[in-house]
Amino acid sequence: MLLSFGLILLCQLVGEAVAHGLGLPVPGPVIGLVLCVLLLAVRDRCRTVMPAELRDGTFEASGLGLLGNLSLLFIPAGVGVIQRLDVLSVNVVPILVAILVSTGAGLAVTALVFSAVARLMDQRDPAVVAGADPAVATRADPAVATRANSAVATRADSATEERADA
Amino acid sequence: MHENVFALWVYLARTPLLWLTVTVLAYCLCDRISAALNRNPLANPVLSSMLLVGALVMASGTPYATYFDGAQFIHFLLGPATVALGIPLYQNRALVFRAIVPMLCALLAGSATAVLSAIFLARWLGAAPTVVTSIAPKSVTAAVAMAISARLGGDPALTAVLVILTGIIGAIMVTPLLNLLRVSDKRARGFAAGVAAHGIGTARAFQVDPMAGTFAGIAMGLNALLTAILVPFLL
Repeated sequence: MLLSFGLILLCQLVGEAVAHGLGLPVPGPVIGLVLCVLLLAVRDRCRTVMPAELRDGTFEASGLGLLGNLSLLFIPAGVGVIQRLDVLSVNVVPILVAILVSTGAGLAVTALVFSAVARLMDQRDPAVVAGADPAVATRADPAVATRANSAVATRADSATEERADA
Repeated sequence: MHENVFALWVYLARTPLLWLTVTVLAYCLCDRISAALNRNPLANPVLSSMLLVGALVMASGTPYATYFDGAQFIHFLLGPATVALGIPLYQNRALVFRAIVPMLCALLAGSATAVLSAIFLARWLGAAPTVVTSIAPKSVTAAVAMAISARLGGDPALTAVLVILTGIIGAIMVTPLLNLLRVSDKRARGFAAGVAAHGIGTARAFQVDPMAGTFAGIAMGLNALLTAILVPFLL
């Protein structure tokens, strides 16, 4: 537990050092994210020499525990709204309209481009989606699995079924 | 008696413990309510906790700086949480790698849309220039957005607030909007939440589905990177 947290902090620390040291526009924690992935890749390469905490899933559990409460972490900055009520009230219309419309547009464009490109690629190369590893497909995305296993299945069916829980 | 209570308040109000406790417990309460309402998008726990804690801070006449002395311990964890996004990313690496092309296309289109539409609308509707600069990086996670805004002459504290508002609005909108657009691919849904509504959208995506959450986390990281590069050119 403690080692896991220490290693996560270390990834961030090295990330911050690299970002500031090299003057990169990339934020330190994002570099830390990449380092965390590298750390896990190295662990899987040399499992035998790793401390028990890294092998028994404690590291994953600690990190995912933190992510499970991600919403909590935004509250302190959010409460800062009380400091800026004056600016917000003067610009309330432009701010609200800009945020509402722009966020909706961002969501729509991202999701539509993603699913259009993904569908295009699936059609071109269905073998990739069907994949050689059924375990991965089932564990992760039922949409991928459904589409791969029954190319003829009507998309509408799976869409309704997924929409219910998403 | 009355004086003792007052003395106790004066003491407690100065320690970080009070507002740290209030923030954590308010979140626990609001998260319970959100769960009891079947994670209805409108019962967003960030929004309700923010309103509850904000009301308590204001009602008690506490300056924000005093509140933040306690709450900073929570705020600090945003960094480690960003690093921890590497864990689901690694666990799902096979799926992520397979979706690399749709991800990059969607990232470019979505990130540019979010920045450009915010700048254009805010300007067109007559917002002050500082507000325009502060709103441009609104879809990126708080720490990064504040840095971008400060570098370009915006108001970082205002940016933080706009970022949180964007996240909350995005988290509320994502499910109904994407149902309306008939996007059923969970990867696409999660990725959109991460690009447009950063960590709060990611938290929402994790509530709905771990796969959506993973893609949201990646989107949030990539968009932080891209927006930092894009905003100076687009503003």
